[in-house]
Amino acid sequence: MNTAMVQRLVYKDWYFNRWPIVLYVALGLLSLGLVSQGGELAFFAGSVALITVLISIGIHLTMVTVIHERRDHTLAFVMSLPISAREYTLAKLLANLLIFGLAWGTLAVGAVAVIAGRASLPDGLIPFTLTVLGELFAGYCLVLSVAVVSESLGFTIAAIVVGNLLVQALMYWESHLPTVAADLQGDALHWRPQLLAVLGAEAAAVVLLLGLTFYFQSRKTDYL
Amino acid sequence: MYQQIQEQIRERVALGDWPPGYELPSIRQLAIDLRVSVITVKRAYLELEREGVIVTQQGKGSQVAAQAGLGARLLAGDLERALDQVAHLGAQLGLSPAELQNRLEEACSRRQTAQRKEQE
Amino acid sequence: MNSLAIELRGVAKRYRHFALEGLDLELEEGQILGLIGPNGAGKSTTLRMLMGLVHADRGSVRVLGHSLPAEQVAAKREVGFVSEDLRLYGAATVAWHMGFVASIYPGWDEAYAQALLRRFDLKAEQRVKGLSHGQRVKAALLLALARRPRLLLLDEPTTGLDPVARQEVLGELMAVLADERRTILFSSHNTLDVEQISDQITFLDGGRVLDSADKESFLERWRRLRLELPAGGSLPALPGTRLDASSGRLAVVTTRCFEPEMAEAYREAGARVQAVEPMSLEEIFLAEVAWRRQGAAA
Repeated sequence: MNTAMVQRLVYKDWYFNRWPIVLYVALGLLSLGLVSQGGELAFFAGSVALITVLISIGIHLTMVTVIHERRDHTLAFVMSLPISAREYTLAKLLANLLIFGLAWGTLAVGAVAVIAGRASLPDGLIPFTLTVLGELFAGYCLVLSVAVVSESLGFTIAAIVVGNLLVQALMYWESHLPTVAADLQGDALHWRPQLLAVLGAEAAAVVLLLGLTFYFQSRKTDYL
Repeated sequence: MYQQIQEQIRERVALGDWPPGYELPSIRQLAIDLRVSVITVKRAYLELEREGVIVTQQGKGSQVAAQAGLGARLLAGDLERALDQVAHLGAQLGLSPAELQNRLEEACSRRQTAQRKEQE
Repeated sequence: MNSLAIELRGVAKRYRHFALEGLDLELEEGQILGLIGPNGAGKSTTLRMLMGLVHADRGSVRVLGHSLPAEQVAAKREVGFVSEDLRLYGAATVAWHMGFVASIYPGWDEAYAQALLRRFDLKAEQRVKGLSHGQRVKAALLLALARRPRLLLLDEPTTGLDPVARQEVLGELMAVLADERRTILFSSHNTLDVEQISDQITFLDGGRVLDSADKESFLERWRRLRLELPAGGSLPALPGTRLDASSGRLAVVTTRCFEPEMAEAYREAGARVQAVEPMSLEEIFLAEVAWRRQGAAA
């Protein structure tokens, strides 16, 4: 394994995306500030803004690091460096997961902290919030995997649409489960089996998507 | 393509720019300087060696042949070829040898006039 | 004998509308090979296979002793690749790219890089997206040259360059060859470039090698003969020779294997040889392609 080379490529993607990511995280923190104001409208607006920011970070990263790299022919530059196709895939996934993970992790910790810290926000929201954050992470992995494997804008947009619909469907379904709906109003933390199953499925989806990406990449015979 | 390089080197030797024993640039160096391929220069050197203009020693590079009167001999060769060309063109134009001779004398006096003007 | 920098044996690659077949190609260390072919001949595919970016369906590909695509990382450490469709990051400066490439290749020569920057008239602090096409090509070439690779693979390096930039680039390529262990393969549809600096020439058309030889023997073998036929006479058919045009008693013949005896044979047949003309690489290439395509049609 050509670790130094993979590191260079990860660093490169960070270097080109660092300012937009800082900006997105700042917007995410502003959304959290809005949520913490209390009041139904502020809570609703803040959480929609936060979800939007997280989805946007994923789309932005995937577009810039995967789709544009191919469209702008900078992929040829990268592939001309001493790196194998497998290492390229690894570097691309690592860079994306690390950069997205950094932003996502910051905002996830922030969201839990805001809910736990504000008396006006019932702590019972936390398990629900984590499943939604997990879904956003898995949805991002779906978009990233489709982009890396297909190298196509069309398929990537389709994956973005599917990912967003899944988030909406999940939130609707969970909030209409009688037990979960009741939990959302109280301060007690209840890890309902449905929510644990969702978290498990999300983690499995992430692992499966990344595994499939390596599998499909290894079957390619043309990298340009 | 190699003929041009061959011609240029032959000319330098003929005019005495490169005297007998003069070290020629290495094939690679000349190729780089002229921005032409190595094989072209190699071929030019080979032809020059065959003509006896240069001598190549394995591992030591090439030198202008240390032959007495090499420059003069090359110029004489050039003259022969030019005269053949004159004879050929003359025949095509239907000129007699006497007429050609007149034209040659005219050319000689033109050159003398031009040289005199240059000196003034 | 020198070792081979490039060795392709029986390489085949099939696409839906295009196929490379039975491609054999050799290049000795220390030489420049010019790969000439029209658009779609398979030049880019060949170069990508030499970089391990495209895997051959059949045959073997070796670069600097490494078998591709398996050992592409080792091979690419010693190869500089510049292609028409290889671009640098528009948002980054030339200096950033230099730093990035320098951090990857231990052989990076900063003094040489700075010298190239001046010679190519590039500004390190300029962003790539503000560069002209010629400047971009020169920047990509700088990045490839300054790591001092043993093999340079260049896909159409002079396409779209103005005459000044073209000569600068060709000059730098020749300078690379001062080190006898360094090798260049470049593709072009500009036969002038190839004619100027190549030692070896390979003609590619329709995914096949039409001909491959050292440049001087290429130029030596091909001749155009202008003949005056005897009244009512006909020309003897000679091997490797083709009648290009005839009007009245004048005929033009091209041959791919010229020998002085050939003119003799025509004279014996009663024809008068008006001229035996050398051909430019471009004319030779056009003749090769025309022969192949007519042969395929027949």
